[in-house]
Parts: sequence; C-alpha cells; structure tokens
Amino acid sequence: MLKKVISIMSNSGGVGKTTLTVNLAYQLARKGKKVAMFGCDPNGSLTLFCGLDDPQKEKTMDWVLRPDFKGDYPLFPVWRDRIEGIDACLGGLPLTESTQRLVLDKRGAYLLADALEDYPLPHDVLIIDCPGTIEQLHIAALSASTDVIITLKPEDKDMDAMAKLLEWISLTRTELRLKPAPKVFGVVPNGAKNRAMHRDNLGLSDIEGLPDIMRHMQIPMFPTIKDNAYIANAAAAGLPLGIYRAGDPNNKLYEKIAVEVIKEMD
Amino acid sequence: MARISKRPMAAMFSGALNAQEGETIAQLKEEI
Repeated sequence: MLKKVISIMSNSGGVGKTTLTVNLAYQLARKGKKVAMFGCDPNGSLTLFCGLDDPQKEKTMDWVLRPDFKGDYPLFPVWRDRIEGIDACLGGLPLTESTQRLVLDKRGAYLLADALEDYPLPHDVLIIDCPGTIEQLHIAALSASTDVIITLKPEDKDMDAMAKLLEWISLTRTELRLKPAPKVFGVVPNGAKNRAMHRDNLGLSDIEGLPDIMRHMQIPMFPTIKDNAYIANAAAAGLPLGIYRAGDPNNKLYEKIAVEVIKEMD
Repeated sequence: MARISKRPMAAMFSGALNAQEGETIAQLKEEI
C-alpha cells in the first residue's frame, strides 16, 4: 500500500525532474521499497530514461486519467535484470488529450487522487514526474500527493520560476482544500557545470541566499547534484546513474534523499 | 526602465512567502 506519493515538480524544463525520478526510484528500490513511477509529462522523457519504447496510447497515463478508469494500471517493469521492485506508467503525447479532459471533467483536479484511492497500488512509494511548467497535470498530481520535491538549477530564471511554483502550491493547496495538504519535502539543486563562475556576465546566479529563504519557509534543501556527463549518458542509456555508473559520487546524494523519504515512511 | 542590477532573492520569493503566510492564516481561521 502506498505510504508516499511524491510529485517531482519544477516550473522550468531541463532542471532534473526525470533524472531525480529514476534515481530516487532506484535508490528506494535498493533499500527494499517497491516503487511506481508515473510519467505525467507529455514529453515522455520517463520512457527514454527507462530505456523503453513509446507505448500505445492505452498503455500510458492517459488511460489512468480517465473518469471510467477501472484500476488496470498499464505498468511496465523496469531494469528488472538489475533490480527488483520498480514499475513505470509512462507519459507521452497522449497526455495532451488527458490535459483537456482534466479541464472539462467535474472531478478533473481529483482524477488521479480518485484512481489511487479507488484502486490502490501495491507499491510503497509512487513518484510522479510532472511537466516542466505549471498546468492541469500539476493540479491532478498535487491533489494526489503526500509530498512535493522541487528540482532547481542555480540560474535566476529557474529560481524565479521556482518562487512562482511555491506560490502556486500554497494557493492551490488552499483552493483545493487538500487534507492533509501535500508538503514540500525539499528542494534539490542541480549544478550548472562551471558556468556559475561567469554568472554576472551570463545572468546566472549561485544559490547563495536561497537556504535562508527556504529555512524561513521551513523547506529543506538537499545537497546540490553535481552536473556531469555521466548523468546525461545514463539517461540516454535508459538507466539510473546507480546502474550506469555505480561509483559516481552523485549516487550518494540521491541515496540521501531516499533515506529521508524512508525515515518518514517507517 | 530596465533593471540593471540582479533582482534581490527576497523580492523574487515575496509572492511565495505571502502565499504561504496566507495559507497559514486560512488554516488558523478554519481551526477557530
């Protein structure tokens, strides 16, 4: 039975949402947890990161986000030759239609929450990989979640976008009257290579000052994931970093997040 | 006029801070 439903959100693209989704799932599974991943992004990046082919429409999250859904989650086992306990329900283009349905359906905001309540998954944790900008799928994900993790790149435009996401989360939690309200579990910064040293010229920023604001908002900050080519290569190979390059120091950082998640479950 | 200095972090997050405060007040009102 699900003990945690974690939405991975940001308000900008390319900031490590799907990377965190697969690596957190892997680290949780290494610690014996059964994990489901839902790809709620029309870009279908979770499919690529899992090393799978684009599924038929009936085998995507679009099937789950229907008012007449009957609990037959189209889950695919992933990386089974290397690890047990991880399944994925994939996103992709069909989700553009789901989005319209979520707007029109009277229970649109709660369709995913309804599905999980009516047809509980047998997993311990569900991780929802959300789209890059705030839209209807975010509302459905938020209303189904116990927690939100926000990924961030230390650039001004991404931090500004994250600030707006935090504002949106507060406003939406209140408007939807979610009880218990999903909490922001933490912020996971992703390093921006060495560009930070040129930040004044490029309009980039380091995250100096952010920890104080997050502390004030009682939102934990996790250590920065160091940007390196192996993360991108692992994604292209359809593997979590822990399988692609077990000795990569970033694995310890993903593991730390998994440990914090498990602490709240046990 | 275009801003020539970086936007202060506190200004960036003022909306988020206000919304969180509003949320807390709404919760307190509900509890009363």
